[in-house]
Amino acid sequence: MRRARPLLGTLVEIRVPGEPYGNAVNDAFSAVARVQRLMSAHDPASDVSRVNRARTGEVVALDSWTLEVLRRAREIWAATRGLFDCCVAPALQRAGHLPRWPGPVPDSNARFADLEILPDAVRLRRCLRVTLGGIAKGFAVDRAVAVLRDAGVASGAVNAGGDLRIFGPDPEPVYVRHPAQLGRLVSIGEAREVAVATSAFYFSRNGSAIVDPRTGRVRLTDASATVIARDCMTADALTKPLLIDPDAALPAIERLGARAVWIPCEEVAA
Amino acid sequence: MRELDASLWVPVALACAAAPAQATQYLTVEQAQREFFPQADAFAVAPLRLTAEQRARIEAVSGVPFRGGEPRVWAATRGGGLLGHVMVDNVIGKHELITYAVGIGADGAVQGVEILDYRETRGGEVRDPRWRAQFAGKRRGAPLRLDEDIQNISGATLSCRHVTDGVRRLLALYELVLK
Repeated sequence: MRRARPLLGTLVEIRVPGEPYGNAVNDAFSAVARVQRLMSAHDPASDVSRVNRARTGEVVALDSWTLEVLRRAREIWAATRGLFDCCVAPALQRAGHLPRWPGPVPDSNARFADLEILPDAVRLRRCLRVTLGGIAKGFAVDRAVAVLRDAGVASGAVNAGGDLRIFGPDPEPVYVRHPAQLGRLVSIGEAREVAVATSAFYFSRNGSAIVDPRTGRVRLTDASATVIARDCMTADALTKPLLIDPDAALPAIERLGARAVWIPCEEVAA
Repeated sequence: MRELDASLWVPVALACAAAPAQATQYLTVEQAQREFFPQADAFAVAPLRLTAEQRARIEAVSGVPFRGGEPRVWAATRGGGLLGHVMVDNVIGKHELITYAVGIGADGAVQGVEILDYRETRGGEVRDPRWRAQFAGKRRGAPLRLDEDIQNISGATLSCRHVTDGVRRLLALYELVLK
């Protein structure tokens, strides 16, 4: 049984073995909706928006899920030596990929490290703009899978606009959309209990925007970067460093127990 | 098929298949009706027949123009009492045609949004009425298991903006015509 709903700015699809798990599917979608309410930069009531409206020195109480994502984002930021960075929002705003949000003017020297993460809150050492757009979809997928598993679903999959996680005892074929050839799929083999996330531009220069945190510049490339990991939050976050600088990102990906697939834009053997 | 191995880079010579355009049916109209209003004992078609002025008003309020056909609407009732409405509409993305349903309670609040059908195209067929015509009409019974239903595809920049725009337009239509 497959169901799909518009969430997280994309289509989120949930697949379970059959109709008896309908309630679990509803609950799993509810978990995704909760991630959206907490972490959407476009929702003025979200945790992320409240952080972005906060002043220097302010302490902002946050939901435990938001803090979990921020902690993991901090770990990945450290592991990738800053290649993954939640504070690239100002550069994205300048390039027109994110709207400007109301609130005190962010400090141009603000870095991700200026967000002090406390047990129940964050404290702003500087006024900043944070975006969880590069990691929240993966987290939402993980939460949805957890709901399904807790409900006793033995196998299935959750796919949020291409960030997916499959669970269950049997290996399944996994594909990656070819970055340049519409309608072609690249097989990356069979796997079980795995999360797969991909970043690319897909023929549209106005599509997903990736900013190189080292330069603040929007980075364009024709390739597609896929990360395979045990959880989708990790896979999602790591696709950005991989797309920006694969040589620099690889050691971090390996240290975090993940694997990478790089699909260039040339014709792949059929 | 081979198991994913431990190496970091999968060799460039990966199997690359030309996939048929994806076509997935998630729910029939009848299933969506029952999901939104499980207690209903009847779904009555509510023909719209919007006037040009109504269409213009709805487009102005929602900021979303009508393209193509009008949505289909049913009133869900139990013992003759209104429970709410189910609206089914189509939106066209860059490469996809999406049929979706919205459930609206008697209080005018959205109860849910479900995708009914998702169809991809490789070319510009999405704008060709003849291509779209093959999907017209309800399909009764359980969703078809289509051979083109490939699962576990990573990497898509599909935006649901068209669907959320469509929902906004349906709500404007509801406010103006059905409330």
